Amino acid sequence: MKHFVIVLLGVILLTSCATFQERTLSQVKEDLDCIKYKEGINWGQISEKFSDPDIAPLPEHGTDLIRNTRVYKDKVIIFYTEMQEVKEMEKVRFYEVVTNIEVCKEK
Amino acid sequence: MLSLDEFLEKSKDNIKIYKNFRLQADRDITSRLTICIPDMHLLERGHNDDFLDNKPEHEERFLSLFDFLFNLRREEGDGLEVIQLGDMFDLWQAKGNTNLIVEAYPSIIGLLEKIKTVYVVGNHDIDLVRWYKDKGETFGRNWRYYSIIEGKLRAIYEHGFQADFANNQESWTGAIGKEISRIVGMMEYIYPDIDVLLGFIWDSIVRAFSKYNVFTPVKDPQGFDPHEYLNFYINLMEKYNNGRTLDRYGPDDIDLTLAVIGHTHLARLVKMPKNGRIYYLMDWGSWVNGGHEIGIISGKDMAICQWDS
Repeated sequence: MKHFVIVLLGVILLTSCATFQERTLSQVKEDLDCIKYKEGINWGQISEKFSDPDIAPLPEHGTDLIRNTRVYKDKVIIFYTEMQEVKEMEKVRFYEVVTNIEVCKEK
Repeated sequence: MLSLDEFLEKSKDNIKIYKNFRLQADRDITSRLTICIPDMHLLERGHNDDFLDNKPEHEERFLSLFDFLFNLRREEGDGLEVIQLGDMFDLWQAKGNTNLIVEAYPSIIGLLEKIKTVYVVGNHDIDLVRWYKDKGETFGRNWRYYSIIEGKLRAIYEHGFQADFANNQESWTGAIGKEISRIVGMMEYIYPDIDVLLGFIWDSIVRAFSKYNVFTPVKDPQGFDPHEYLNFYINLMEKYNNGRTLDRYGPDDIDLTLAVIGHTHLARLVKMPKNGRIYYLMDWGSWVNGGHEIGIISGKDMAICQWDS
């Protein structure tokens, strides 16, 4: 009986803790330093904020040396989503689509 | 306004009246065709998601109802009103608040929004109102909602937990009920129908104690109680009708005759005369745990139906 009560109290405590994790985006971002993606953003802004990339891959075979990619490990990505209305066989349906991306590092 | 019979005719074979739950009130209750969606308990499609219940046809059934209501809304405009009566989200068991539930059911939530559904909060999603209480943000959720005819309140729509000792979120008993529900939610990973089973057992205990409790007189010697919240809601309507309320409505604005609730997951339609007038209580049951009920009110007519397709 004693063990049962301890386990029950433990479960109640754990489930209660779940509600403490609710945070809004602005609360989450208090610990982060972010940059919002938009097409044409200057690379200098990225490298200034995140310093040198962890990996600088060679271009794929058959592509162009001036089209490059840079890889950062352990960065935080924030996706902004919205509903988008579509028609599927004359019926209205909705998908979640990404409308914005932010890449962040921990402060 | 489309009448109840016209609505049933339009719905063709997709709908049937549940257990002859159909009544005509002694006065008009709504000026619009009002469709009510009871408890949905949306989660993230996991084992504890009562809405899906691991059966894709349950989602299809809901979508077919809303495809129908979407087309009806285009025809009827504001002559159609849809009310979701709380526990749309099951935030007591959610992994990521409403966020990941929206990801799981974009079309269902999108269609509810598209037809301008009125949202009432239930005990499982009341935190939507609580989190931002100080800032006045309620995400369009209402504590309760009213139908108004010629400037007077005629029907009150509330989730129903307010009348439930074990789930009233304003009291310590409700806090205990919430923790128990969370534990039961975890047990659903082992035995998915444990919530239904324990619900029946709890109802049996409550029923027995309400009749044979040694601390209170026997209320119902015939052993028949048409609805456990009937007195609560009739007293509430009487209190309002007599002007004994602290909200913005005065006695001249109130002529309540119908209370509409969900919460119990057990559809019922009850009428009861009291002090020279007739009151009605409509419990719209549940969309989950085997139920797929909806409530319909048009003018004086009301019915509880099941959507089958």
